[in-house]
Amino acid sequence: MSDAPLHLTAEELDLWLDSSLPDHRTSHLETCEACRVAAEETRELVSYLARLPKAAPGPLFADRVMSRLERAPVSVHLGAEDLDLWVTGMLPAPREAHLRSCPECQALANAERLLVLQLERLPLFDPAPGFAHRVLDRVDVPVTSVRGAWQLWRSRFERNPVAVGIAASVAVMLGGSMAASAAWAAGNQDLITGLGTWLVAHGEQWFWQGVGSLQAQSWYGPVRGALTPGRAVVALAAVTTFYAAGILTLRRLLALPESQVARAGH
Amino acid sequence: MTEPFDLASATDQEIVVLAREGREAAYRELIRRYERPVFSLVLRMVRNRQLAEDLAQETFIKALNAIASYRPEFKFSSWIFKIANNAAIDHLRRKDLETLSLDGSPSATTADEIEATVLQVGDRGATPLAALEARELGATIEQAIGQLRPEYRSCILLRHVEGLAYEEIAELLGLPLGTVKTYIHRARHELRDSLAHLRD
Repeated sequence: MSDAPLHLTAEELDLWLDSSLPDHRTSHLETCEACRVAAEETRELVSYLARLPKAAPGPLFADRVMSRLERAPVSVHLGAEDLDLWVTGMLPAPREAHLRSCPECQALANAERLLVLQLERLPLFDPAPGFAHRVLDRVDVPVTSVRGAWQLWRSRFERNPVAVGIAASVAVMLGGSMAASAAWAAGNQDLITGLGTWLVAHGEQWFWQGVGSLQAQSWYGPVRGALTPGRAVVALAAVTTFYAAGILTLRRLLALPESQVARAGH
Repeated sequence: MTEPFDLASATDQEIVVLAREGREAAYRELIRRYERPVFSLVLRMVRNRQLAEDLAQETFIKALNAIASYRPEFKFSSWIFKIANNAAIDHLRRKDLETLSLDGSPSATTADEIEATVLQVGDRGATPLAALEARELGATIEQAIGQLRPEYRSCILLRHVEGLAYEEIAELLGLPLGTVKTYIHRARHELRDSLAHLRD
């Protein structure tokens, strides 16, 4: 085989005329006399063709075209646009007349109608089961309300078999331990009653002991004296405001960042 | 908890509004409405069931994640078909897939792969003979569609299977109206030729 580069093809000459021939092929022109001559001849030919004068039709050209157009619908066979109209029942009367008298167009129109009918009857296919779940698992559904968040969490939880399994296990453990507690309590009612009586008796005693020790503190007297009803309300309001601000700050700090969404069609 | 109104009877636009409010049921309803048309369009474009499933999923994920940017003056169906068609065409351009037949992809090497790439054509005839004829006709059409150029295939499927208007297809594919008409006419011409032996 020869190592000489191939001569420029007709397509490459086209590209050269448009100045879009790749550099490695353009450089071929510098070394190949035959291609350079062919390229120059092509350029001259194109230039000559572009300068050709426009021939004017004879007088009344437009009238002659129009007069033939008026007769055309009757004699010319149905085109693609006519077939479109015929399938939808909107073919103009002159073309209908041609169709009735032309066996060739009738065959074409019937084939067209059959084809369109068959295309419209093509069945739809089902994706594999669970398609919606697989899609929704990868969709960022925006959370705009507590109710929406709850519904989203619930539906995603319900279709997550691992989460459902863990929840079921926890429920079984809790239910089992509660049942065991109830069974034990039913068998030891005397012990529980005695314990309750003892707690009531000693609980009151412990409460008043606590109150007494509180009053014995050095700061209790001044605080008690300074705490008028008005000041108590102000203090309660301040504590409530501080608490609410803390909750809002925490909520903002713990919020998930908004995800970037893809632009459809790109 | 119940929805404020019946999602099944709501319009696409109403459902999109609910989806933007974060209602997962609305997302689910949009998928329910369009999973078969979108999957069918993509399957007929790429002729591979597993690939069509992946592309259909990508279509919905892309559309639903970008639901905030959907412009309600356009039909939702046009929007999702546009995304699906772009996904299929992009894939065909990247992979330069071979034209596949009803008998499965030529590149399928195992029984599972052949199964995945076969388009199942349903029976539509009242009698066994009619069913056989319908199956043969359907199979021939599917095969002929598979042999069309991808751009012809998009146009003919959107026009005659999905029932979109020429103008909608032009808007959806970003093509001049005349080009869309030409593609569809040429596609129908090729399909008619493919079916000619059945009429004889």
